[in-house]
Amino acid sequence: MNTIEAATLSNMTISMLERTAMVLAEPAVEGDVHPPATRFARIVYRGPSSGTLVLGATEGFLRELAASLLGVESMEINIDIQGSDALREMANIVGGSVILALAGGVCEYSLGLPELVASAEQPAGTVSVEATVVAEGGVLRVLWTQYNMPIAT
Amino acid sequence: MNCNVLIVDDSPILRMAIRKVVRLAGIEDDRIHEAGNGREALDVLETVWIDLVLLDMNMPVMDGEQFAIELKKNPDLADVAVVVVSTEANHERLQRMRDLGVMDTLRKPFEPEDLHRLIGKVLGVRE
Repeated sequence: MNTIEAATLSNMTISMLERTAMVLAEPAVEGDVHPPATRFARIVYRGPSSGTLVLGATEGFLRELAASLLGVESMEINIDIQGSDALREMANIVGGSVILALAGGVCEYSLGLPELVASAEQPAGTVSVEATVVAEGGVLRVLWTQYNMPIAT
Repeated sequence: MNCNVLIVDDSPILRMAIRKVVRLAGIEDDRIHEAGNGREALDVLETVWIDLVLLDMNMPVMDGEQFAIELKKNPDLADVAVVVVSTEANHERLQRMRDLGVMDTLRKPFEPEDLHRLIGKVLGVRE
């Protein structure tokens, strides 16, 4: 069974952002301080193993993401409606990419529905892989947690 | 192009993004319809002639697979062209969709050109 390292998770996220919304992002430089994420979306997957993917974004990032998807100016974005919707959909898309990477070949994984959550907090005792990417508008953090098998850190 | 397209996705922002691409493929805006889940899509199909359904899989209320099953049951709607546009990767589920008559699948994220090409291909075949 495959696993996903932080660099892979980061590259996957960057690629999904570019392909979905033409948002150009890059990996955060280690040691740089970024504003904390304020909006979170989570998606659960099940199959040969189960886990979650949580995306946390700053408001600026969500504005840029939603504006790019809709082809409007970022100030026109309603962060509670379009921003949240864009974050949920991005969790869905990155989640789809994660399960394909985990499957390697024939995919037996299934995704749940993406949902907004209050924080990126994970159950005690679980180990997560985290990637942070930076775009013009702000920061997106991606946290992958696999529950029933050891994961690479 | 004188065809009616139905976009079925629970994400309003994705529906709008897909709508833009469908317009670029030559479909007039008033021929593009939207539904937030399979149940709403069936309601649209009862009132509007639809040539192509662009169908997400993971949706609340009624998901894409259940929608395809319901469509197949209805002789008036069984021949509507359906293309899955989704993050769905589960091979068994995708095989079941093909068995239900889905014409093609497009994985999210997709390039606008991919969807554009697919619309042309499917509607060309239908014409």
